[in-house]
Amino acid sequence: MQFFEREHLRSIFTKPTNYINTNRGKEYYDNLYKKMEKRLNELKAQQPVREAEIKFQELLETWELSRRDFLKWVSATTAMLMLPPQFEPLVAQAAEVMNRVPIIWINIQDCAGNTEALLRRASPTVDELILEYLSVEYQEVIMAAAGDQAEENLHKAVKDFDGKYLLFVEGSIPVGMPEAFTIGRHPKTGVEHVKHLAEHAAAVIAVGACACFGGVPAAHPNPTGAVGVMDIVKGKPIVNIPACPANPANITGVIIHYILTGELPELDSLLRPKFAFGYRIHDNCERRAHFDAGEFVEEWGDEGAKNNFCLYKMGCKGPFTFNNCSIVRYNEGTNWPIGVGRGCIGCSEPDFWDKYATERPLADSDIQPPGLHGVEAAVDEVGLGLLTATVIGIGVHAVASAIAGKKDETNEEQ
Amino acid sequence: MAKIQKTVLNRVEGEIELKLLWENGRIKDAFIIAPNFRGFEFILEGKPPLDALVINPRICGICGHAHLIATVKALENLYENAGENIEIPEKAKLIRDLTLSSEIIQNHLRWFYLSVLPDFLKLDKNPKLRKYQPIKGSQWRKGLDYSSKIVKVVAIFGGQWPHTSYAIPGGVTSDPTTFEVAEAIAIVSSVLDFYEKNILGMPADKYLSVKNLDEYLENAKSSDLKAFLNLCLKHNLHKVGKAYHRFLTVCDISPSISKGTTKRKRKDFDINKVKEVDAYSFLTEKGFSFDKNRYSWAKAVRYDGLPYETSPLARRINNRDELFLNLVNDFKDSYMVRTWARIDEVLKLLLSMKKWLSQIDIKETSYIKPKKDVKELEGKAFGFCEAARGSLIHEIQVKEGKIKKYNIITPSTWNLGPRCPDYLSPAEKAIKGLKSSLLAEMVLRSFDVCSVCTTH
Repeated sequence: MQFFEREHLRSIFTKPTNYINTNRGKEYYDNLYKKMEKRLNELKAQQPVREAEIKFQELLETWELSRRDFLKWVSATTAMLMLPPQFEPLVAQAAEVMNRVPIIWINIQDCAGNTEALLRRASPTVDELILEYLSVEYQEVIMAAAGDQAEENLHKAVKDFDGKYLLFVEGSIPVGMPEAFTIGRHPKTGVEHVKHLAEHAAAVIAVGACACFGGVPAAHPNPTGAVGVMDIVKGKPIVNIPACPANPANITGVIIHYILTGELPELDSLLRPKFAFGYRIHDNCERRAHFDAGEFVEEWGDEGAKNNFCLYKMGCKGPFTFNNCSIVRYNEGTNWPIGVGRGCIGCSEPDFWDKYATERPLADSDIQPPGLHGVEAAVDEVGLGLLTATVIGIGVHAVASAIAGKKDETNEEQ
Repeated sequence: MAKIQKTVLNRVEGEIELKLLWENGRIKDAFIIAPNFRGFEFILEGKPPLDALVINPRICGICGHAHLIATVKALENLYENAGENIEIPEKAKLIRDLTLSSEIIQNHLRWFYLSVLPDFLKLDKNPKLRKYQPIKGSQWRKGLDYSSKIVKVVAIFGGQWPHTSYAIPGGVTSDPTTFEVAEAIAIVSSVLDFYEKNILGMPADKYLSVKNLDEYLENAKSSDLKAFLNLCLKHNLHKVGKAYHRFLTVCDISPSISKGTTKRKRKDFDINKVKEVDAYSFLTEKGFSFDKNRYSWAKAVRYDGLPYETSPLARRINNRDELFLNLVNDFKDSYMVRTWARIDEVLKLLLSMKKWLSQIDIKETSYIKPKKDVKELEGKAFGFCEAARGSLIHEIQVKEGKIKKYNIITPSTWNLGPRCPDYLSPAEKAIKGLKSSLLAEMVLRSFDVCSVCTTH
């Protein structure tokens, strides 16, 4: 087992990384705070998108949610955005002015999985925040309108909110075979549909592995020539929220960040928000202690599996995968794949079906595992807190972390 | 000469289009168009067989778990066909059925409240129906809430929902603790409580003795099912939406679902009688074709040459449920009966889940290692699974450690596929003859439209 020797492990975990800078100093946060306050005041002065404004407080009551439930959500979201706790009041205010930003959500070559994941989040439900309070002008899976009426609604939303709406795209776009996605009375191809709606949007948010990097449809041999949004939309700010499905918390996070700053969050080279994709699954994995102790599951169902040992040798791609699901998890934090002993498949990385999927032995792969620090260095620097991070959850990160208001150059706001 | 007017109802749900030809105020012909295609069957070719376990759940964001189960069963069938005995621990079987059932329940609840009931707001101006209004209605929200709740059972045992990949040939990877089983029991009990109070309007055991529509309506307290049935009677929905009255179910989920086919009499299901016809599909035996006559990415699928409906109604009929045998006798396979069957199934599965959860022995292993590596096997195998919308079939061919061919027949392919030279698809048949496009849309919804997996 030469591959798993200490020296080898050290070498693969010491590649440069795109780690987020989590210590920006008091001055930085003070300025950010002022900037966000100004932006929120501007939004408060604006009219809500929809005519009949519902008060946020009333909404919480009709959903039978307590203020306490809401504050819990605020605190988790603040931490996820890597903002220090003093930003919590601002995040709470941001949720309350969400109805100033119109949203259009379209599905191209999708499986509706990201929409479903979003619908399955609760407490205080994003159903409430997104569907009701946030002004979703068009979402074909949940809207009541169908047929011509739906098409009219979309036209109207584009006209009324020209240059102001956030366009969410779910699913890949088949550039190699336009016939693989056509829609409407006057059939439009996926490419035309996305380009047209992107042109009139303030920013485009690609949700899920398919919309970001082509996803499963783009796996070899890519029968329909599927690509992600960033391959066909140019000259617009784009955010990628990959994973399969994208974690709803990250979707909400991007929206809240946009409301707080009027800008997209700081992005990595793959246009992923750093607050969610700035560190590896491995960094906060609940099985990390077993990795450090050299305790691995060797085959399904063995003693190691029963004792929740590390899944690295079973093909887990946690050390290679940038995502926050080891902290945020899925279905309201109920669980995640590593929690049931399956290992990570690297679904927030490009081309993971062909490169990362379970049946790709790491030894044969040409994956360049990123990582600024070695395994030991990471433990030394962050301290043992890292090992208990999943227990304390999101809170640990809140203290040391922060987002940046800085924009990526290629994503300059129009 | 009659005038023919073309109406397109696109985006009925997800991305399905409905093209209607009108004559004298009636629908003369209906075409169900699935306009999207991704090509999963091509993507699977040449990949190692176990890759299918992570790729296939992504066929559908709603029924992904069913695709995982069909895949794992196909791989296990590969062992059996190669003469290799494969053992699945009882615990793993229970967990698979539990998670599959929660996926089906979440779908039915969501569909009833998010898709079916809001249609009646367009049909009926009664202000009492406001509670079913999308997003704002109190019952609409409850439906969404409880469908989110039951799906946590999948997350507990499977890691996440949608897109779980925890089942492997030989069992499952998860090893639940007593705490987790207790958590699942609490979730099931609370959903059952919601179901009795809000949907049935009577206790579960009382409902189980109901024999027909009148008996139910007389005994139920005010509830969503009762409201739904009364609306159906008021708007004649117990008379429309009839398909072929032929029902197919491919696998058992004991005790609530049993496999079989019913064409007047009930018979066993035989996979050799299943054939796909591509006469009207863009996807053909030889590749792609965009001829004028072809209109959908889905293929038509026929059993013994005939179209069959596969759905919760088919499962009720093949399971010989007395209530539904009577209902079909009284009202045929109409909109009302088809929809009721889906709601009825929620109860049957919730009760089964309670039983299964009490049977889990956490000390038992979750996985028994097969004697051979799946890569050493060759041949052809099938995986059968009952998904929310009906019967799902996966067919795998493996050669030299790689997938040689993969074929998927989804529930929606049976119901919403295109026609073949001899017959319309069940949903097209059910729509033909209706007098309004809203009714056509509602009848189409009674099959629980899902386009993403129709075309995969």
